[in-house]
Amino acid sequence: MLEVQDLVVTAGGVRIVDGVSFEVRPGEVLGMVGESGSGKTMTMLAVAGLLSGPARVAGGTAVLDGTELTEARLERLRGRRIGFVFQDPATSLNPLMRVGTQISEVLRIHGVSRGEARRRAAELLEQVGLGPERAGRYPHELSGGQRQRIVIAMAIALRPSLLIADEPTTALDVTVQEQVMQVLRTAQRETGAATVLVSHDLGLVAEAAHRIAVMYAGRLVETGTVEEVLGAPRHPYSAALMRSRPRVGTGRGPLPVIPGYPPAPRSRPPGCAFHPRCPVALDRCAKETPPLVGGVACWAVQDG
Amino acid sequence: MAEPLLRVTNLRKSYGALHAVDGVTFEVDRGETLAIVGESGCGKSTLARCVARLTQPTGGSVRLDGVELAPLSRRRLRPLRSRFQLVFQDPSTSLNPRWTVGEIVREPLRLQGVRGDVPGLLAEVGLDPGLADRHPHQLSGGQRQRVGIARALALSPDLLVLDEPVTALDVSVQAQIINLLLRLQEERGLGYLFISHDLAVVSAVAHRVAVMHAGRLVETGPAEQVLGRPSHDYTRALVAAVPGT
Amino acid sequence: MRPSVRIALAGLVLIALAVAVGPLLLGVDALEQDLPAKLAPPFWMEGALAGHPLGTDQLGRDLLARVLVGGRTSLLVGFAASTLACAVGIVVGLLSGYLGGWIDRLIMGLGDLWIAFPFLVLAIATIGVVGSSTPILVTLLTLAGWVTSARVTRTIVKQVRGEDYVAASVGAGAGHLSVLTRHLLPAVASANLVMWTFVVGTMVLVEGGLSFLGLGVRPPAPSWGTILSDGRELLETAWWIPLWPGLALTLTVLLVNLLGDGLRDALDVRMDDHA
Repeated sequence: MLEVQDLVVTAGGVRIVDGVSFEVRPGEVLGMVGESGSGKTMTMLAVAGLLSGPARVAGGTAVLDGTELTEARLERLRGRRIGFVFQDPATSLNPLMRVGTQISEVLRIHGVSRGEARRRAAELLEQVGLGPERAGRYPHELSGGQRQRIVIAMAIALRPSLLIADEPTTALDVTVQEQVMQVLRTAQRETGAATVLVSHDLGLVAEAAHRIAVMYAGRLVETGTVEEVLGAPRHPYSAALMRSRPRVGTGRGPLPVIPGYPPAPRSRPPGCAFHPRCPVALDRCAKETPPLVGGVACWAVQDG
Repeated sequence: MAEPLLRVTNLRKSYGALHAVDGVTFEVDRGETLAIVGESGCGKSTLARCVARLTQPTGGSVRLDGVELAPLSRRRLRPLRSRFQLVFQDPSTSLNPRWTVGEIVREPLRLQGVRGDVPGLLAEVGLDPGLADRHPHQLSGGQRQRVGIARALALSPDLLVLDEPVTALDVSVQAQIINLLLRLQEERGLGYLFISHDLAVVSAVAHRVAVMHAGRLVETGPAEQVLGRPSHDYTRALVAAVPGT
Repeated sequence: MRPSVRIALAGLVLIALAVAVGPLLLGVDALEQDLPAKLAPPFWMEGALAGHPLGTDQLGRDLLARVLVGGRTSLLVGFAASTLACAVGIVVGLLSGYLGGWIDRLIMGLGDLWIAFPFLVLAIATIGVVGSSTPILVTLLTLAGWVTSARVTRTIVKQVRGEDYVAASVGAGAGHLSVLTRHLLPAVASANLVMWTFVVGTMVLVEGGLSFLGLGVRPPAPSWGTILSDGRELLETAWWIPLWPGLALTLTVLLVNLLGDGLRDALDVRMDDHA
């Protein structure tokens, strides 16, 4: 079980992630959605201790199965207890190494013997729907979807208790996306890992996640089950986001839009960061930041 | 029968033995959007570049208002270029990072030696004309794509070739740009050749849809029909794969 | 502007001023021999002569005057050769990268051959046949230096040529010349400016080296390299003769490299913003 409390990430004095709390139970998939700059990727990089550049954790805690995730511990836990699937499989794999070797390498690093690692690698390939003959291939000999399957195999090799998938299918074609998501879901079910699926794609999250966390301007604005958040969104931002999404079959015509642009981290408005774009903003929204109460951070909802 | 705005007949583009575009035929009328949908590598981007004449087609015909463009040399084509313009996928690479917004939108006017109203163009695409002095990196993704659209409109074209114009944008910004494109089409009577992999986006903008697979169009028809009652197996697979519908 | 760039620029302007007007203010002839005053040490040592603050060489010529006058040749050759080398490199690199295909392969192949060819042999042969002069030196050094700039330019052009903003420009009717001058040339300018500063340093040094080997400007006209060379056999007794041109050479190269580092950092930061 992953428990994140009041996480704050700053870069150059700017709060990129601003007090985010959530939990993910074993076997559960949390879909973390938001637009670019909302802090959804930063949140997960911070949890995994993979922040780079000027960004650093400035407050809060992340606890995995009772163990606080500190810088020193993460070094050992990544790979073993925490698995990753990133957007671009091409950059997650070593181009000069056969993919079978890369999978067994993950096991070898964590003390599995050579023969055992090779046997497990073949099993893992099977598990992600690739034949054992692919073990001898180099990444460039595989398609994008196959490469992402290899990355998934590496991520679950040590049966992690936390799986972080950041836009795992964004770089892939629609028909391949579906297959890779299938593989990811199966792998997740079999390992029972608490899973965070970071994505900008609401449709994808709707199909793959149990619960959803919506981020806007560095804060969580709404959380709940998929049915709650996608079916009857309560935060004006989530609601507007659902409406503005084009859908197959709605027919040609203008979409309801959210006016303006998401704010850059260093120019976030005071109070609720969404208030300048919000159709139901109250006076209070410009001054006080609403806390997340009952799964929604909105004065209009809480006061109304 | 009146000549359509764009008539593409048996268009082909080969790279050696690879036939990226393999005999494609379609028409686009004034005020109409034809969407070409397909997955990466199906040849839809090559098709866009052939129609916009950034690459020379290997064979076939591209007629704009009855004028044959395909065999024309770069020099002969130049004065005709103002009739059709391209909007690119990634606004961060389609704007010269060293230029200001004003310089970028003014470039087509300078190249064709015509006068134009840069502040007016910026206002038309929903940008504050005061942004003319900014550089692209000072703008958000949505603002950059608006600059790309303003540049494409500068020469008052009849046809816009839009190559995945909202793919690189956030959901809320996607909707804004889609609405902008719909409004511009209505106001200016533009014909759109809209290239996309995203059926949901296509559904919001297209009158007609053509499905491209392995260099060929496998199904063409009104949007409701192709997306709602697909007849080709490949189209059915494509529609079924869209998550969350 | 960064402090390091400011310091480097100020230092280089001072050196340029010193070699340009210094000899006029000094009013001492750098070629005038005064055998009774030969091998006078610099001012802080016993036996120093008034009017020769940096000492004299084995022919009694004033070292301060010689270093200042010699700097004219060294800096002229160094700056002219590096500027020409970068200019030639930019033109060749632009054409090679833009045209591509067999022209590109031919030009870059020639560049590789050219780099592999020993420059010194070329210099010795040329100077042996036509003799040495400032234009000859500048030409030789330009020929030796253009390949680096051409390669860097070509690499950038190959990348930028594929950018969508170039396609947009072509799509609006831009011809080859317009793409080259409006999009590609500005894109290679900053990298070449930085490289130019490093080439200046190298060129000043190579000129010194050639002169040291007797392949530089004809004596008695001084350059930093020839003064160094003259002082070579007297290193143990009159170490100050090579000291001054050596110091001037080192200082100039250091300042130019400092300028290059500063410019590179400054321009890098600007490019980061674009990402």
